[in-house]
Amino acid sequence: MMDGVVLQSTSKMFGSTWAVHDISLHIPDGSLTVLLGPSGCGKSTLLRLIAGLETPTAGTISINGRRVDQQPVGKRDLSMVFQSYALFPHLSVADNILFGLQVRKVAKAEQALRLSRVASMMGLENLLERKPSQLSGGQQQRVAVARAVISQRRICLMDEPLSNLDAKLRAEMRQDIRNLQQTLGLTMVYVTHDQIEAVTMADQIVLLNEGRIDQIGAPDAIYSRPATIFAAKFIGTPPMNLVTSATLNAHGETNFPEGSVVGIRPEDLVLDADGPITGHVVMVEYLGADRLVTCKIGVESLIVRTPARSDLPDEGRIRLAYLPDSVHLFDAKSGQRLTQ
Amino acid sequence: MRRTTIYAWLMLLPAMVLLMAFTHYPAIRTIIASLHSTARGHRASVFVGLANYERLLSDDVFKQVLWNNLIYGALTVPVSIAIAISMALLVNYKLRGRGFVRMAYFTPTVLPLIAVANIWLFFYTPGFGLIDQIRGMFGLAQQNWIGQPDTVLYAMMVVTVWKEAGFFMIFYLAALQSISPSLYEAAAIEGASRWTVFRRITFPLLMPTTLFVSVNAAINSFRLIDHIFVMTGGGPNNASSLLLYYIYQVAFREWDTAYGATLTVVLLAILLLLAVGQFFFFDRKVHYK
Ligand SMILES: Nc1ncnc2c1ncn2[C@@H]1O[C@H](COP(=O)(O)OP(=O)(O)OP(=O)(O)O)[C@@H](O)[C@H]1O
Ligand SMILES: [Mg+2]
Repeated sequence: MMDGVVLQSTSKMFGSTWAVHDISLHIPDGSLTVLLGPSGCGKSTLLRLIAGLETPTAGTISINGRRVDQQPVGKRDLSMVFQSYALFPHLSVADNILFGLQVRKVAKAEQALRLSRVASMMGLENLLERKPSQLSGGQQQRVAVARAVISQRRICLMDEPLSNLDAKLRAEMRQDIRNLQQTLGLTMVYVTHDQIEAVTMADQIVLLNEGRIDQIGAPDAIYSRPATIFAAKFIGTPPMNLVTSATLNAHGETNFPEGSVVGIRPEDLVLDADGPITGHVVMVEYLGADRLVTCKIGVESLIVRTPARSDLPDEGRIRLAYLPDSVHLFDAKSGQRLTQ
Repeated sequence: MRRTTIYAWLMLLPAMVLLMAFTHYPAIRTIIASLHSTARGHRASVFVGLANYERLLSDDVFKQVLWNNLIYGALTVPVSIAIAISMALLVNYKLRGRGFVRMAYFTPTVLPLIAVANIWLFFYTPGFGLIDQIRGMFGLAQQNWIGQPDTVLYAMMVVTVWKEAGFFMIFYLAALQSISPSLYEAAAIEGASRWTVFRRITFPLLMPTTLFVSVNAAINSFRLIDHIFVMTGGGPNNASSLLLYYIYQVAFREWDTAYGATLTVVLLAILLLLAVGQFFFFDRKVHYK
């Protein structure tokens, strides 16, 4: 028996398409797992399967060793933040947050205590009397998070809870949620399509692509060893440079295997007069501390991250070097990482 | 500025003319008529002040029909609303063949009330009507539902509810379908029972519809009397007579037009009160948006 949430070959079909296909996954107790992937890849569907709002077409789901996939929603003892917030429009913010406690007939004093704690944490103290329609999108989202948090259930599912906040608030809330998860020891499943959010928060990232798992791993593991071209492209800003071995071999003194795609992160490239790759600068993007230099290598291009203070050679031909051990090789056809 | 004002008035003119000619003017004529006596033979109509209204106060039939009408409204409105909500919830539920069920519930609405009355006349026929036949199977005695003063009004109410509930269901169905399913999902996650979900979410969110429907139902309870004509003629002994039916009797059977006008003013006042009540009281309390 395993603690936490375990999915075994879980699949969900809508009509004739698989929204989620053959997912096997262990979400350890007390950890924060991020479901990451582009729009439509099945993140929400997977979360709803865990919540019990959808029943799997095939496969099983268990929580703390008990099969739950045939159990009704209310029995799974978890809380959830919906992508659409799902606030009750006729209830005040306070009643929205307290709804679950009222349903479960928690003592009034206890309700008041928890409400004031959660409200101050979410910065909602002055909004408790309002109706959801009188709140901004970000405020509504915070109410939705508060409603999930106040239940103090061990498993908490969140579907893009911060997507409507501005950058500053999002960074703050990210930390708040992470702190909360860690201090309460919650098992959290967090859906996002924002790889920065995923990398900064997660214990474990589940990268999804078209309903299937592309890669599972800790953020640094996925960053340093992406298993596929998809993972390599998805994580990191700017994304990893991916060029064909043919282009590199033709424009440099390199010898990458034929039919492969070479991945090098922008920070692993340096401008070096003695480097093996030749190209010319086509664009420079200033980022403050750093500068992104786009170099044309034949018909493809490489982005190099250099300190903004360093000098750039005059427009024209340059040479690039890469750090040893920083090259990722992928099979051009299957997109899979080649062993190394 | 002035030109646009004139333009606006011109645009409003056709509607205003029609409204005044066919609504406001007759209403005012009715009030004036209620302050005069009825012209009879060579005696012309004369101004009598509030004499007709004094007559109201001592008119036992008026008191009875008003009372009848109040009971009639007080029962048919909530009962048809309750049935309409239940039917709408049932039809809205992912039910097999719900298109058919929806049609079936709606049928009474499409039928003219006269036709409905004829159907129910058959149901109520003592001895071989549908109801008595079913009662007969259980060995129960015959009943003349619309022939006895203590059952006739309730028998009329059943017809009204049967006729109206399907219509109101359509409004509730539309309202139910505008409620986001994620609200139910959020409630389900919290472990709310079906009844809690209905009491705390569905019913409050249906409130604007309930208001609209109840005002319409209340107005209809004063307005729709076709079945009384067909089934009972207000009898026996005025037991099923409603205000509007009494007005018809006074004004067009007895040709006491002045007293008919007086009763009409009472009816107008009641309807006005309902409309104003909706406007000032409910509108504010009910809306959550
Ligand atoms: N109820 C449904 N009926 C039919 N198809 C559905 C349903 N729900 C989701 N899908 C399909 O399943 C796929 C996955 O949808 P899902 O909502 O899980 O994506 P997502 O990763 O959450 O996307 P987003 O980031 O846009 O929210 C999509 O192709 C979607 O069209
Ligand atoms: Mg989604």
